[in-house]
Amino acid sequence: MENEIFKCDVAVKLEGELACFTRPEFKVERVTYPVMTPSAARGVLEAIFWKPEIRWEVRQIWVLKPIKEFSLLRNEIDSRQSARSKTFFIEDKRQQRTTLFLKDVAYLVLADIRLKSSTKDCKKKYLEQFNRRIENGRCFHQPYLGTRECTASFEKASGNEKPIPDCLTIGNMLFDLAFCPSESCREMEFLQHSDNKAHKRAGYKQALYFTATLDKGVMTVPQSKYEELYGLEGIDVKGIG
Amino acid sequence: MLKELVEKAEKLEQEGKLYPVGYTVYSERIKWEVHLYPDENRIYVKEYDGENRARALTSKRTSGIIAYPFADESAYVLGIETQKGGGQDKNAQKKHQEYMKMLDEMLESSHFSTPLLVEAIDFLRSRLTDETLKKAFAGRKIYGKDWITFVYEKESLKGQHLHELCETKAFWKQKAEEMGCTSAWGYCSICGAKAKALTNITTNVNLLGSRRQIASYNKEAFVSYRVSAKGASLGICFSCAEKASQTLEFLLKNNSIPLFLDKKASGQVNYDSSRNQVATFWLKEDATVTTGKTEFSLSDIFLSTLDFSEKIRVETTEQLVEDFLKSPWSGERASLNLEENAVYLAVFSPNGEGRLALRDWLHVSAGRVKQNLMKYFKAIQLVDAFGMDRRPYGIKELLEILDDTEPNVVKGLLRTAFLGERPPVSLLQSAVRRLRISGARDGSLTDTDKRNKKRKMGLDPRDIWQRLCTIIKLALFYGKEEVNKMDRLDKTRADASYQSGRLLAALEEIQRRAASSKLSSTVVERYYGSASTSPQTVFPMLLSTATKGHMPKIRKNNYGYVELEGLLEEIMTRIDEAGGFPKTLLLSQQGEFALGFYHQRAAINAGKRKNELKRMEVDNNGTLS
Repeated sequence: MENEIFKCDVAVKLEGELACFTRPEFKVERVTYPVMTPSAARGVLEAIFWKPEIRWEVRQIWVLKPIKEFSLLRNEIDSRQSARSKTFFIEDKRQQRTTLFLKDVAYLVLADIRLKSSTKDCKKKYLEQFNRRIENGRCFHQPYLGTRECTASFEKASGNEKPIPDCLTIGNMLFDLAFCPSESCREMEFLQHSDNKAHKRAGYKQALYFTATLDKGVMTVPQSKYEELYGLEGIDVKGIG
Repeated sequence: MLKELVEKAEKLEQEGKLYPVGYTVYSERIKWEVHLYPDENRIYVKEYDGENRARALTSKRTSGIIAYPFADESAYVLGIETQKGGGQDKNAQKKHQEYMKMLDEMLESSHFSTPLLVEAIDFLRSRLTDETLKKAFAGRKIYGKDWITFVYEKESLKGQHLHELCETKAFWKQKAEEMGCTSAWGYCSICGAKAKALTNITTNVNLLGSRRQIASYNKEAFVSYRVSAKGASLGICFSCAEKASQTLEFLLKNNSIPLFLDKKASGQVNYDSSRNQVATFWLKEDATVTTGKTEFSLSDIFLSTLDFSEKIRVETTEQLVEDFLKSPWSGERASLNLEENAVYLAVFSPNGEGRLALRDWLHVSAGRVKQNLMKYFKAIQLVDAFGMDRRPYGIKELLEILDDTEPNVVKGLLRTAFLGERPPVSLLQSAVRRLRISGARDGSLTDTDKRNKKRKMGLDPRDIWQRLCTIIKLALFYGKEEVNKMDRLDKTRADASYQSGRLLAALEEIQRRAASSKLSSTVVERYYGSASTSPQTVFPMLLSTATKGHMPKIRKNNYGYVELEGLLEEIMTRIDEAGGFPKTLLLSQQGEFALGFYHQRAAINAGKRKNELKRMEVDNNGTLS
């Protein structure tokens, strides 16, 4: 198993007291997937290290601790808060909601770095930057497990990690959201990086799913889904095309 | 969970147990049955007295005016304004117009291509326009909320309710899909198919008397999962949402148990409280199990953990564990694929305005459940007050005597039974605390009813003792080696707190035998609380009273002096070996004390019963000879 861990570019161990990888079909009374989603794992990696020249591709997610759920009923508000949003009287927006969290979780995320076609530097440069950051515990923002309130601690894999022996058919799982530039369907605006610059694009977003199974504690992410994602987003990545 | 519900829906559909898409059975029954005779140009109205039929339903009608095909309320069909409790329905005319519009739409729809059916719609439409139908109700008391259904008495349609025809169902399915979806397309997170995005689920689920949506689509919630321009959410397609809702409705109706019901100060259940919890349960593959000569449904056996239904008749724990769980199951399918067969258990609560909250979700293989149930039933195995084996308690029975039970404790116990997790920590504390209060342990503790009058719990004190000690045993010994020994008296147990509990039971027996008349209260009523927390301060005094005051009387009257003296000596030797009376007892030691007391009392009662039986036998023999 140890060799398996170091087959990928990076192996990051994540731990946390709580996690909520919200299922899109249960988003108001939130219910978590039983295992970390690839998009959540990508989010954690991007919190530690990200450059416009690279894309993270999650290969495997290992579940290191038994899957335990825990529900919590809390007073929440029914809209997002931000500095830009209008002020409101909180009791007008009050809602009691239940969340089904995962508790006491630990994962091992195995991922590769993919370089965009326009990148001139070699992969080693970015890998070493990543390794330096993870060894020093540096991150752009605190990584989290699904939702921001579930903070995650991270460290480089030691090589001794062992997945739980459980097998589980999860079914369709959210793979990632594709932000697709489009002239005909201009539902939203988002930033897209090309030529080392951020460009404002108009388009729409599309959710991609994959059939997830946990085989002896290991969830493998199909590589073909990344090709579909790049195709939708119109991104050129080295080695694909 | 939705994936598993959709899978189950396919099986239920095959068995014909699900209602058609967008149909449900209302609590209000159909009031009027209208028979249309086109050949005789006659309309016959009669009061409907048949079964409660499924009718079209949409959650959008709660705030809007939407007509249903054929069967509908009389406000829609005839524009009746009068309401049952008095008052007028101001929207009756608008509703009637909507119904007429619906008939027009049906005439144009491709679903109603059969000439006979087109003729039926046309006939109904014309009789509504010229008000012949309204006149047919003359002299009858009809209110706006009365449901009316139609039968077209001609050729192949004779005797059939028009709203139940395949064409009507297909028409309503399409209509419901149009109402529930937007033009935006997306991938369904359940089946993965590309489908129109759903904004509203047609079928609501009935949880504790009110209708709620399986998944909510609040406007502002989770913006990141929203196709903003089209107003649709990501998630499930119409077909999966309907299948999941219909299945959940079926399961809640046929296979659910309320685990926790929140009560108001008046004693009435608050059905809207988010503290309420209802468990529903199903198997991936339904199977039957044969034990001995009896055949059981696998789900009935698993449900027995929660509550023993009449379907499962077991007299003793041994019988249940031996027959159901230990023996290899000889069911046709069950024994073959126990590991592949999965057990699903979902716990729901009502929440907010018309929402359903999933509080817990268990997904485990039947084989693992079998192992865990065996472990669980071993842990709740305890002799009764007379030292005999008895039927195990269901989770509901165990917890109903703890007045401070939190909703989460119920879920915790379910997880213990099904998943093998540790029992909730608060269980031991609640049970021990309750045993310390004399009013709580003997069942005389009062509760208030809705008229604010105090009433007793109405349980046998022996039953309360047994339930509380079962909880203590479960909390202390679940998953431990001692669990097998602790279901009855263990004289050799090297634990001072357990032996102290035994001593209190022995002292109570000594007091009883010494008294010439029946005692209304014993040392237990007075000293249990202090003896179970600080034995060193209480027992020397109790022992002194017993040896100086009670034992001489027993010897004098020949009430079993030797037996009791031997018992006292044996217990005191064990206590001395364990280091004497403890000064104070921790919570777990108080639990041991309770078990020691209960076991010894049961052993004494068992001895008494045995002697009684012997005496009766001798008497009978004497009479016979």
